[in-house]
Amino acid sequence: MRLIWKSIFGLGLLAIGGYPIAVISGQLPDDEMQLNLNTYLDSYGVNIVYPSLSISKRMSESTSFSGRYLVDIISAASMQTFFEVDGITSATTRREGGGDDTPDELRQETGIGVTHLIGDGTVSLNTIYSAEHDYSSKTLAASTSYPIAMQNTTLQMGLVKSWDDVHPQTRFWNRDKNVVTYSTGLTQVIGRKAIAQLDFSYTDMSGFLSDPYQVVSIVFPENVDARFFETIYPDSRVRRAAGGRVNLKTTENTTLQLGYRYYWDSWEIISNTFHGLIQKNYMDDQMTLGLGLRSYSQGRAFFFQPVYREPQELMAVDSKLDEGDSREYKVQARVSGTLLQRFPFFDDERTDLSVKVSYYHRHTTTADWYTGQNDLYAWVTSFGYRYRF
Amino acid sequence: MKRPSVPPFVFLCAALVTAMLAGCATVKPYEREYLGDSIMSFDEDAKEASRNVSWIETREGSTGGTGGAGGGCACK
Repeated sequence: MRLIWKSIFGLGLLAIGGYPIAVISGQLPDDEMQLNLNTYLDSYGVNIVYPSLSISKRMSESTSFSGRYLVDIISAASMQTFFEVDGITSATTRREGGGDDTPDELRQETGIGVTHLIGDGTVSLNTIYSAEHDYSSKTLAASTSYPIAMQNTTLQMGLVKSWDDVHPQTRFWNRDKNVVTYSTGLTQVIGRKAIAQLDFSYTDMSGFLSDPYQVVSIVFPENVDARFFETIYPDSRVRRAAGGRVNLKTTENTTLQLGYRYYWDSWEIISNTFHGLIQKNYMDDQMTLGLGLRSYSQGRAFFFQPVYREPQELMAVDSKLDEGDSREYKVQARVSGTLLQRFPFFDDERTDLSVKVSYYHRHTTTADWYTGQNDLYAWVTSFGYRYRF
Repeated sequence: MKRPSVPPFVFLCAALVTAMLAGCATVKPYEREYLGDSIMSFDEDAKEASRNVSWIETREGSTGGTGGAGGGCACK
C-alpha cells in the first residue's frame, strides 16, 4: 500500500487547488476532453504511471459538469522485505509483485463535479472516490470565487473534507483518517501586463497519520541483532501555508512567473519554496515553450530522529519528515493541432498536445531508512492531449 | 504536542501586499489583451499541480499555499 502516496489525495485537491476547484471566476470551464499520461521514475527504483482522463461539458448557459478518472500504477524494484511490503513506496507485495516489471499496486480514482455561475461569481461542488485494496478515500470539495472592482480583483474560498479508511494488508484493524482544509485566495490584476495571486490554506488532520509499513530498527547494546518497531506519529496535525506569485508579461510573447510559499505545521516542519517559470509563445501563439525551476527546503519534524537508541513514544523514519532540500528543473512545450498537418488525427485547431519533463533532486540530512541514500533523483514526465468540443 | 506559533511576519507581509494590490490602478476590460493570453493564467498551473501532488508530497513534508483555488484572470 502506498499509504502516503494516496493519503494526501484529499489534501492535494484543496491545497493545491487542482481539478475540483480550479475555476476561473465568472467563467465556466471549457467544453473539453483532456487525456494525460504521467510517469514518475526515481533512483530508488520506484516506477509509477498515472494516466488520467477528464471531461467537462456545459449543460446550460450557467452550469457545467465535469468528470475525471485516474489510475495509479506503481511498480518498485525493491520488493519482498520480511515485512511483506516494499520499503520504498510502502506498496504491499503481491504474489505477482517483486523486482520485476509487474505492477504491484493499483489505485483508481473517480470524480464528478458541477460548476454553476451565480451572477459574476462561480460556485463549484465536487465529489471524489478513490479505492485500492487496503485504502479508500471519499472527498467532498466546494469552492467559490467572486470578482470585484471591475473584475480586477477575484476573491476565492475553498473547503475540502475527506474521509479515509486505512486497512493495511498486514494488519487486522481498520483506522480512520479525517482531513479538512480551508483555503482562501485573492487574485489581483496589478497592471495591463501583470497579475498576482495570494493564497492561504489551513489543514486539520486527525486519526491514523502514520505509515503501517515503515519500520524503525533499533540495536540494543545487549543484542547483536536489531529489533524492529512500528513507526508512531501524532494522531493530529495542523498544516498552514501562505503563498504568493506574480505573472509578468515581459515582452509581447513572453511571461515570467515568480512565486514563494511559506509553510509551517504542528509537527514543527517549516519550509520555504521558491519557483520561477518563463514561457514564450511562438508562431502566432500556436506553440509555447517553457523553462521552470523550483527550489525547496524544509526543517525536521520534532519527533524524527536520525537514529533511535531505544523505543520512543513517537518515532518516524520517513525521509520527508527529515530536514532537507530539493530542486526541480522543468522543460515544457505545447503545440496547437494547426501545426500538426502531417498527423491527421491531431490536425485540428481544437486540439493541443503538450509535454512536460522534470528532473528532481532531493537531499536529506539523514540517509533514507531503507535505501541508505541521502540523495534521490527522479524524472517526471507528462504527455497531454486536449480536445475542445 | 508542541505547536509552533504563527510567524507574525507572514501575516504582516500578507496584509501589506494585499493592501498594495488593492490599491493598484484599475485595468479596464479593453486593456486586458495581454492578461487574456493563456500563458498569463494561473489555471493551468493548478491542474498540473493537482496531477503532481502525489509524488511531491511523498517526497516532501509540506503542502498547500500554491494557489489555483478559483484562480481568475479577470479577463472576461
